[in-house]
Amino acid sequence: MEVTHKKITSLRMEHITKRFPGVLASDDITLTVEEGEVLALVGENGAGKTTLMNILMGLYQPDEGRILINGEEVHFKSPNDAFDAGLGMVHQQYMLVPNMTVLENIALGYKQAWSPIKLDLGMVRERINEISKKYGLFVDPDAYIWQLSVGEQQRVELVKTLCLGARFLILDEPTSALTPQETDELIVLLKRMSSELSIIFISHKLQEVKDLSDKIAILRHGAMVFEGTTKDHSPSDIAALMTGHEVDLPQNDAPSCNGTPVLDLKNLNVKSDRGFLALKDLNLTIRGGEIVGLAGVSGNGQRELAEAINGLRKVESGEILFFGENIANKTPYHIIEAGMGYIPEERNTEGIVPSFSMKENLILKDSGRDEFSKHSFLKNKAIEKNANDLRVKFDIRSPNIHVAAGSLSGGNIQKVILAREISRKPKFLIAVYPIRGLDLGAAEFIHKQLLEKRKEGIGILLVSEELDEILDLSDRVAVIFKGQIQKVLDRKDANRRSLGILMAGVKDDQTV
Amino acid sequence: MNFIVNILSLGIPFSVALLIASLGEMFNQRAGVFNLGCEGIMAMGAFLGMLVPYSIGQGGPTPGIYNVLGLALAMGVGALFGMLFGFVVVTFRAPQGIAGIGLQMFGVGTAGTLFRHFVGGTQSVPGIGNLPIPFLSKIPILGPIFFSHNILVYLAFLFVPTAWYILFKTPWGLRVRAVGTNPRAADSIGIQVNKVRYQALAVGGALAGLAGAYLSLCQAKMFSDEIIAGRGFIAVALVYFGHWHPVKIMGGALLFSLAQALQLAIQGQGINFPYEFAVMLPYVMVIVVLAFSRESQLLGPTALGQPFNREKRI
Repeated sequence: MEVTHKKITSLRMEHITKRFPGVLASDDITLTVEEGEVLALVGENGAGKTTLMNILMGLYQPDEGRILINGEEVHFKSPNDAFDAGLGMVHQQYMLVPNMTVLENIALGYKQAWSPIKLDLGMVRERINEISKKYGLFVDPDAYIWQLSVGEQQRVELVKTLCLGARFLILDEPTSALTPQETDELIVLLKRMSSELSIIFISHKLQEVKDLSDKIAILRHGAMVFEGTTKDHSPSDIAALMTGHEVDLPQNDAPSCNGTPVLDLKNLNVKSDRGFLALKDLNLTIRGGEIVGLAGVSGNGQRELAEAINGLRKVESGEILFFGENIANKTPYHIIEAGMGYIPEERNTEGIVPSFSMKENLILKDSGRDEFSKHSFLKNKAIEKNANDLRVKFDIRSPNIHVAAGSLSGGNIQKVILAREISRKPKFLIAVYPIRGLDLGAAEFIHKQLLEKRKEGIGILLVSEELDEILDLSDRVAVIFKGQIQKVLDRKDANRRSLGILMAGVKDDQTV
Repeated sequence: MNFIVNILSLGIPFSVALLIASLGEMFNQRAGVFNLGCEGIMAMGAFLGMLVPYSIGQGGPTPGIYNVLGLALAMGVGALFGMLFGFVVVTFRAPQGIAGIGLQMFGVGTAGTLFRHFVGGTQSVPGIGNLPIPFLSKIPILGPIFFSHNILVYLAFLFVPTAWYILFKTPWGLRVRAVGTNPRAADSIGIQVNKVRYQALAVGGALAGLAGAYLSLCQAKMFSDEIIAGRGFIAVALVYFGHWHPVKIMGGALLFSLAQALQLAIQGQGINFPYEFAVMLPYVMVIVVLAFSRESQLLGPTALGQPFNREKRI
């Protein structure tokens, strides 16, 4: 492979236009990044940020416009061309092969380690160690990707891009899966790195936009609506420009309730995919009308907990009492019928059937009900009415109700899932990372809906790594660490510091 | 004892066509393409393999060189067929199941037609004889079972570790596994997904062609329309059976072939057992084992059957 190590002193995208069937994804966008600059690309979901970056990486071909590096026009026909020019991108949806190890995933792009008859994994391992040490990003090279949590996978992605020698980094929401501590570390790291390379990063989190970027570019509906220097603008200015209106994330300020316990987890033991106990004698009680935030670094048993409660994972021992009935190891059907609502972690693969239309996804759990079917035929009119109603009520921005759900943006997919789960009138709701990767507008909407449900007396288990989300919504906060509940705090006792320490595994926060 | 030695020494060469074809199919599937047309490529291989020694090698003193040429032609045309299949399902993204059935019919039909045109009726060829390994083949019991076969038998079993090494230890194998599991990830890191799929299809096609030629040159020493007899489809099933792993695939091929040898032995021994059931035995066994084998979705090629389209947004 021929690699040029010339510095990228300037990168410019000029008049970029890209059309997808029915959508103008990029509308005459021009932007410039100079050497050592950090550009924050912000905008709501579906604003066209990722499309723009995919064009830059050669994954999509622009319909119009050109890209210049150091003043010379370049044509990227494939990502290879972009790599050779020194660009590297960490995608929001992880570009990892699940049935291969971390080492193999990185070797896949590390062409120096390729000889025709032998793959030099030792060389790749050295390179990973070097990068891990240099940046303090540790990964287990021999773990399979499918065994890793989302947070860990993100780390692998970062290590991969750095290993492959990127000199111009494009990060698509790099911190969306990281813990607050990791995010802070990453920001420090990226700042340090910006002295030797330029960075474009896509983000919804205005605080990190403020902390990290020199320049800011705001996209709305595929067009650039604002470009300027970061330090001249406050987060609320940026938020307003992004959404087109003032945003104020809702807070749970109702007095804590004293409802009866509705979900009672007793000495729960559940195994992970790797076969060890992911939950060890876990105990937790959630009452009706309260939101319990489950805080923790991802990979500490959150996924296993949500799956076990929903009947998607075998419970080795222990009880899950749901309104007094033990639902451990019952079928998902039984659990859904009992009134459980579930917003899963993987919205694209678990929450919807991507190739099904939006209206079909909205009745996935109810296709057999009299409301939507008769004599085993679907009642199309009722289904369409249901979809149209929910589309309006939940502000789902789709061209129509017949589009494939998978073609919607992340925020709208999440609204489809939320609409389905809430409209079924559940007695309990488990929301796993409900606003991960969503923009402010969508996050605000989803939080409002959750608080609304709380007011109606429904118990909610909110799994999140976002401390702001947990602190905004929860009545009580449970911190999970290595499959056990470290501590349950009342909202008034919980703050970023105390939670951060508990999440790191220190039980008694007085000692630190 | 003799009975068992017979079954084993018969079953092992039986397994070779299946083994070679399914190792080829394994590369196809690992790259995300399942080729149901394996049967058709095998038929072409079987015809071409015997055509060369039959037409130009006729009466010559050294049939060996023509046999090698026949094998090479079978592999070459097999690779070509594999790429032709790639043109349909990779470039034009046609549904793989349907295209595969088409290829199967095309291959079997073409081989039969050409056979009638160039050869006419049933003709036997000298084929490739056995090559007992000196000394080793003299060992009692083990000798006849393992060391008294034709050269392709030994080669086929050498393919197993070779395929394993290629798949898990070389950059090409890494690329094949990546494009068959998460083509989008492979693409994002600069791997040309479709190119790798074409390569895998060429390898798979060449091996299918070789497997066909083995049947006509080593096993039957002739060609007929029914020579493949569904082995191409069994090979596809064995890849699932073996969870896309060369060693497990070998196990499957041996199991099936030993069952077949057993049913022949049962018939040959004149044991009072309805032969219809005996003939069914190997197939029933494959179905039963497939039904009871554990799912291992996590390790298989999850993008199997899906054409890759970079700009498709789902």
